[in-house]
Amino acid sequence: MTTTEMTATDVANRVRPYVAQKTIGDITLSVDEARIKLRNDYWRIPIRPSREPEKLCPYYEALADLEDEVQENEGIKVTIASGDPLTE
Amino acid sequence: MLKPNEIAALWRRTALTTLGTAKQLRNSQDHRSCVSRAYYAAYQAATSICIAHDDAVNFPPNRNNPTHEQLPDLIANNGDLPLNKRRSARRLLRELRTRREDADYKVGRTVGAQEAKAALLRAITLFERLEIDDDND
Repeated sequence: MTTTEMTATDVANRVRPYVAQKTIGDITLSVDEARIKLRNDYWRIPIRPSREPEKLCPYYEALADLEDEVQENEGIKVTIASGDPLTE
Repeated sequence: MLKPNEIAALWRRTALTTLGTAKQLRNSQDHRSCVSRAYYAAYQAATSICIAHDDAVNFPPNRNNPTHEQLPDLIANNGDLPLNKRRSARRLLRELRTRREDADYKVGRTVGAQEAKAALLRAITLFERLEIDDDND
């Protein structure tokens, strides 16, 4: 199945195991499946932190790591976006 | 009509100007704009490298520049650069893109001096990886 033949749910299911392994201190991450969309042949996947990170550098680094890992291991063209925190 | 190497030189010059603007914005403590300009300096620098590598055929139809989504992959596949530099550049572009989106659109997120500094440092590092001399210091 190519990147553009997949559905948002397919993409979410493939990405979740990678997201589940990423933590920033006590902050966990989750896929915002409802906001996944295909744009310019890449799946744009918003990732929600469990709360607003106090330090943003590790957060942005974790998102960039995710993009590398999903593309290299799953062969899906993705862009990982910063989603809204689950709790403010 | 301009040749690819001439177009690449124009993108490179624009990238250096944009990087200089990002530095000025940091000095004037306009942190959000600094982050945004730092990303676009990186985007323009990477675009110049892609055009020099004849990657313009991969840009979307009727566009003279790559999409934000495809640019990191174009750089990663650019054989003009050593593999370690390409991979590092791809990673920096991805991180800067997310930082820029938050700086421009997430008004509820605090974007302060640390974020501006981090974005600027990453943009400068990207210029180094792409072997573009930043003489604006």
